[in-house]
Amino acid sequence: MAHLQFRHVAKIYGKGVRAVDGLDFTIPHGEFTVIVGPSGCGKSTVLRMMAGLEDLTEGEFFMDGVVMNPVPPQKRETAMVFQSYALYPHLSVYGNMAFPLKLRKMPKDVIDRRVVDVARSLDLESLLQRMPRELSGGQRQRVALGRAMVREPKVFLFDEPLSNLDAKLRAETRIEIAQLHRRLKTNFVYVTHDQVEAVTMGEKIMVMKDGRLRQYATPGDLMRRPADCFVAGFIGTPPMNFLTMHIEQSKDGLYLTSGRLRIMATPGHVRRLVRYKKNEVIVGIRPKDLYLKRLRDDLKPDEDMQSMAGRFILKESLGDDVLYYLDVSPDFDKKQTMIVKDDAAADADAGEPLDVCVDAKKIYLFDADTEKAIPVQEEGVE
Amino acid sequence: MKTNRILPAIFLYGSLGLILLFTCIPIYLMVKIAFADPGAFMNDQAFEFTFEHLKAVFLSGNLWPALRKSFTVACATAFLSTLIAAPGAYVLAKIPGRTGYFFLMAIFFTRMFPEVGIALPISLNVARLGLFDTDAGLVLAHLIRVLPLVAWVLIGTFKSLPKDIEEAGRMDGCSKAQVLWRIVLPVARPGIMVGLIFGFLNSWDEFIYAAYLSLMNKTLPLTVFYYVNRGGWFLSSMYALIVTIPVLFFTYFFQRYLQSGYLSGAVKG
Repeated sequence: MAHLQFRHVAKIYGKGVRAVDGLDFTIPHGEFTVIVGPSGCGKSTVLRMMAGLEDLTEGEFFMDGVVMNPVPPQKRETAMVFQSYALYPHLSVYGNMAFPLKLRKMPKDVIDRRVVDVARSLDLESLLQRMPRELSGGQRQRVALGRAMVREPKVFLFDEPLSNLDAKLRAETRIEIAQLHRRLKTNFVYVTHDQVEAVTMGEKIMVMKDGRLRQYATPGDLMRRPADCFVAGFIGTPPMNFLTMHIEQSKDGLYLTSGRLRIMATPGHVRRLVRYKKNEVIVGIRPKDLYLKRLRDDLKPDEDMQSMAGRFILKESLGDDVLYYLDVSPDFDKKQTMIVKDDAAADADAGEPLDVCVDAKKIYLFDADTEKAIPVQEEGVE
Repeated sequence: MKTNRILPAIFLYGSLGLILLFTCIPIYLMVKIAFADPGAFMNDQAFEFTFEHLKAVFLSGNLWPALRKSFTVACATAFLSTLIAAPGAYVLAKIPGRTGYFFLMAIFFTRMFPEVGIALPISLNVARLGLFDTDAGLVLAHLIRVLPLVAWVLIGTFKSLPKDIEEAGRMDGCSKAQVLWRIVLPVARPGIMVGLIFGFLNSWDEFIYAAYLSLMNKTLPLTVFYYVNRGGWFLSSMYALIVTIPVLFFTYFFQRYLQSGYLSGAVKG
């Protein structure tokens, strides 16, 4: 277990390319942390800086309060599982797993016991004498995991360890790694570009983009209170719909309008928009909070359920659910597509008008310029 | 539909047959002459088998010194060239982009001059070092010829080593030196073996430098030439056969290192 802290960390390559910038965070003891983001966002760089494989250009990295910057990788108590597995092809499974212990000059019987124990827990006992080339992808993955485990490190680092496995094996290994964390209770830092993997595995998730940390929160908080449009759009499938809407003050209340759509702001929204001085706002709506009106005869448009007109483009079946892609452009020169997720199937022709209901309570509000979430105003705070 | 399979087969076996014809006929002739009875052979009579030339070669006293020199020089050249080329090749393989390629071209630049031309000045320098007609002198000269080839083979080998394995080594507790010794060297062993074989074979049958730098102490290829010059076809063929045998042996013995797939299992699937 360890306490990991990044303070003002930046990584600058060559001619001032800031791969990672302004990183400030603290990971508490024993947390399963997932770093997620699109490719090139710097997530692997962060992991490699923790491992010591990459130098920090600026700032400091502390582990349990000790500055790790000058410590070479072999002296850090971190183990890493690589995307490519990186097994030693000239050593057997046993040799691969015993390698880190042999380097530490442990007595032979201790090495033996540890390797066999770990191999048993990973179901590798019968494969100990095999060479890596004789193993399947999933087995290699487990050997790589075992090689990290025998050392009993303070921190496990995972660099997209599942991306070379097929879907079924990936799901299984995901569960295995999560269980492993529950059992070992050490820090896991797990890098992935797959937000589903992040949300299902992580206790807390760091969402990164363009070398910066956008939000560091629990999966639930990321869903409920995304810090900005990027996080809101990145976490959750299908992605959130965004509409730029005008704020209109009329005598019976505050309205958000965009062409044919008018949403009456709920009291909660009104409170949040009190200090917001601009007249445009980005509204985020998750596909699951949208309904097709024709499938929902029981829904009566009221303050919360409001409808807008759209035109059907295509639908996509997910098995249980159906995704409807609708064109809700307010005028012809601005294309605006929306995704609606509904559990019932409706038939429609391309271009056919379809009304969509919005659950107004569940919309998200973002600043039209900074794309940051508009915060809830604390009462009594000036 | 059937022609679709027959046509490729004709090309494959046809070209294979041609290649075999061109490569095997000289070997066949060499073996045949080496064991042919001179009288019958010269008079276009049927082939008669004899060990006469083999006996003559063994009894001439020219075989052992030449064999010893060729073998010593080839082994030393192979070993030294690999030892010298390996560290440089490792670094060149790590240089990203085209810089490494530029260095490799620079190394091969030395090979662009015809050896006949540069052998004389080189031989003069070797002689000035007092190494004329010695094993060491010939090794020095052969290194000029062999080093670029070995470096080229080794750069390819080190380039094919996944970076992840070395980083995994660092994570597992290796210092940078230990990564080289415990991971890079064992994993690169097939490539290093190929480098050694290349070095050996290139020195073993080298002729020009040997011709410039030898007087009394001939190498095997020089001995072959010596007998050709004197019209000794049969002894010449026998010597040529003796030069060939270690080549066959080495190629057979080390061929498993030439097989691909040695690295498989290291990364991905």
